[in-house]
Formats: sequence, C-alpha cells, structure tokens
Amino acid sequence: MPIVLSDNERGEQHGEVCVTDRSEAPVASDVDAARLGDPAAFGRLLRIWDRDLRGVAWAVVRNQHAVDDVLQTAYEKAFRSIDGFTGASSMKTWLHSIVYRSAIDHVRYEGRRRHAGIETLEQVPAAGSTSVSATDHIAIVDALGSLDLETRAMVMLTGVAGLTFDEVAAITGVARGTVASRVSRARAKLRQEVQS
Amino acid sequence: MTDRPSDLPSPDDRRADDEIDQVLAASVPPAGQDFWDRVDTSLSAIAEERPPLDRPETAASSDTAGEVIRLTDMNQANQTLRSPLALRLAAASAAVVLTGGAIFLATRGGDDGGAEVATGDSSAQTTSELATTTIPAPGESTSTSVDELDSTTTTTAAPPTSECVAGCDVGLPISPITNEDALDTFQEDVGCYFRADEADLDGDGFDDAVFFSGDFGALMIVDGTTVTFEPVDGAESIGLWTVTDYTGDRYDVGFVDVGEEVETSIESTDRPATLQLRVDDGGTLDIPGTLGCGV
Repeated sequence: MPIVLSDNERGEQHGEVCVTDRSEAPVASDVDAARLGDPAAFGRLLRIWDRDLRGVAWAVVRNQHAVDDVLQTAYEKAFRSIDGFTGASSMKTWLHSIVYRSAIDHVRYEGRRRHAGIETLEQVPAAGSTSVSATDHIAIVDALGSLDLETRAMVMLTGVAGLTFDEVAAITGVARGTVASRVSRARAKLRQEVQS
Repeated sequence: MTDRPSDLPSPDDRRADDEIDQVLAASVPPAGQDFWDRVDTSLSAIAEERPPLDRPETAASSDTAGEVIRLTDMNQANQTLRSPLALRLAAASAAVVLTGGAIFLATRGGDDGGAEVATGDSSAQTTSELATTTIPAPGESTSTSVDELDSTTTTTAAPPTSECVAGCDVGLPISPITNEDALDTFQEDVGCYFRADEADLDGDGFDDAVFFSGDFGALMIVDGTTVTFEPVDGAESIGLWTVTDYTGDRYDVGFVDVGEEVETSIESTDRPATLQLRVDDGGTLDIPGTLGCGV
C-alpha cells in the first residue's frame, strides 16, 4: 500500500495556521524503514513531529513531566504496533491519534486516582518569539486550560499542528462538524483574551 | 489547507488566531535530551525483542508472542457488578433471553441438546417485557420475537466445544466491561474489546464489551467478580494485544474462528471471532462476536 505523506510531512505549510518550524521534512525512506521496525528511522520521524505531538499532549495533560511520560508511552506503543500502520492515513496523523488517546487515558486515570479538581495549565515561559505580552500569554494559556481536554487537543491539532478538521475528526473520533464547532467556540473564547 | 469555520475569517480574527497559535506553540515545553535518550533506548529494546517486520501481516501476529505480559494486583480489580446487562452462562447448550436492560446467555446440560430459556435472576424477570430471544442447541435455528418492536430474526447457535461435566445448572452472569474497568485493572484502556454479535437489544451488538485484553493480560467480569487472565504459554497472537488462549482463576478464555482484520479507523481494527469461556469445573460457551483492537 502506498505511503501517504500529508502536506505537513512534505514540509508544506498550512497557510496562516502554521506557526512551527517545519523546515525539516520526513524522508520517505525513513517512513519505509520505520514501518519495517528500524528504531533509528522511527526516532528520526518522531523528532520531526515531536513538537506538534508534544503540543497535543501538553494541552491535554497540562504537566511537563506527564507530557514526557505520555509521549514516551505513546511512542513505544506506536513502534510496537508499527506493522499495524497500513499507510491509509499519514503517519503523522496516525501518531497524533496515538498520542491523543494516550494523553486522554492518562488524564482519566490520574483524575480518578487522585480525585483531583481542575488544575491550572502549567505555566511555561514563552520562548520569546511572539509579539504577545506576558500578561496576554498567561491569559491565553489560562483560557486554554479552562476548556475541556478534548477541545484543548482540538485547538492544538488544528492551530498548532496544522491538521484539517477531517484529520482531527479521525484522530479524536468526533464528527467533523462537531470538531469545527468546538474549535470555533474555543477560538472565540481565546480571542476574547487577546482582544480584551 | 486547513479549513476554518465560515464565521471566523475576519482579518482581526485571523490575526488574533495567529497570535494565539504562536503563544500556544511557544508554551509547549521542549523535549530534553534525557527524554530522547530514554525513547531511543526503549525503541531499540523493542526492536531487539521482535523479528524484522519484512512481512507486516506475519509480523503482526508474532511480535507479541513471548512478550512479558504482567497481571496487576488483583486487589485493584473492581469487584462490583456495575450493570444490569448480563450474560448468563452455564454449560453445553445455550439459550438467550433478552429483557429490558438485562441479557442472559444460559446453557444447560442434557443429551437432547434442546433449547431452554434461562430463568435468570429476579431482577431480570421483572424486566422481561421488551424482547425474548432463544438460541437453541447447536445446529438448530432460533427465532427472535421482539414483542414491541415487531421484528423477528433467525440465528444458529454456535456449537459447544465440550460436554457439560459439572455446574450445568449454575448460571454465571457476565457483565460488560468499560474503559474505566480496564483502566482500573490494568491502567490502560487501549487494547482489544470483544463484543458479542447476538443478544443485542438494538441490533448493533452490545454497547459494552464483555472482554478486554491489553499489555497486561485480559479481563472479564464474571459473576460480579473481575477476573484477570494471563496468556497461556504458546498461545498465538491475534494482532498486538490479544492471544488465542488465556487462563485465570476458575475460568479460561480464548478465541477461535478468528477472521481477517478490517481497519475501522486510523487506530482501530475489527476481527470477527468467537470467544470461548471455559469453566474449570466443566462447560464451555461460545460467543460469536467482534474483537476490536486499538493500536
């Protein structure tokens, strides 16, 4: 079955929503080698997509240490089941679905274990690459943290990872229209933080 | 190109969205070298544990064989029967009674192999007005009359795989398993769930699965008790998360007649299969259904 490389996998940008550096595109031979169980090739692919994958995990679990745990678990799980990746979707989308599920599972399990209330999204200093003030930055991150975890992931998947609604629908198992409406409402809420 | 809702594209909104995305992207903590060191080490270890995947289909059925699959502490198992939905199991031949909110698969001993409608327990008998399905002995057809739904279906019972030796008149309710059950027991809910084809209330199969298997073993809720299973040595793999035979306290469970997998989404596949639940003191019940697995 032919390998499908998404626009992002080819290094192309998704218009105005692409804010991360995608100068490094995956090599098709790495995808082939990873599917045959080459850990080095799979590791190279992970390094290309890790920033986007990490964004989804971070938005959901809201803790840096937990992000590392979730991602490591998800990457191991993906590599164990790499032969189950058929190429019907892009590998990036496939990895996002695994990370998303792992992050959701983590939150649900930890939530029951700790009986914790709503946590605030961990504040991480901005990299200094944005024109947004520190106050607005905190407000935006806080506003993201006030959303439900699935919507947080959808915002990151569409806005930061640059995936389409169709791709996000496939990843989250939520209907495309529902994804669109939830992202729209979430963005409206986040914009209020910027514009207020 | 990323599609956007039609009510968003004003220039101000776009600028705001760009700023938001920049903030969110900048807020994501970067991976440290120690993270990649751990990932690289674990990926290499995984690669060394399995043969080369030059034939994905073959490798898919073998790469988990012999892997260490741990059972968690039974104390973690949830001992609560959560739902009135139940499968009532005994031994050689099967009968199914669908009731409003309760399902019983029942079997009985005897040489005639005929059908017998299970009496169920009192809670089921009080809610039996909705529908009644009877699955007769092997080879016989069964008719399903749904009183209020005005529909009739015919199925054939799966043949039993062993004679009823003991316990034939003792019913065992099998309860559905939720993601929470799997998480509570194994700290994971990504694996395989088995759903029975028959005895469904709405024509779409059980809403809840009756079997879960994952990295740590397998799980069923039998007679109100969470039963964990570990794979039998030499059992064949069915994909990544399931093997053909498991053993547990008082019960064994396995799969036969496993069909080809069908991809149902990016991260899940379905296989037709028949779940066999075997009671240590005698009796086997075959439950045709679907084994759905995540990645």
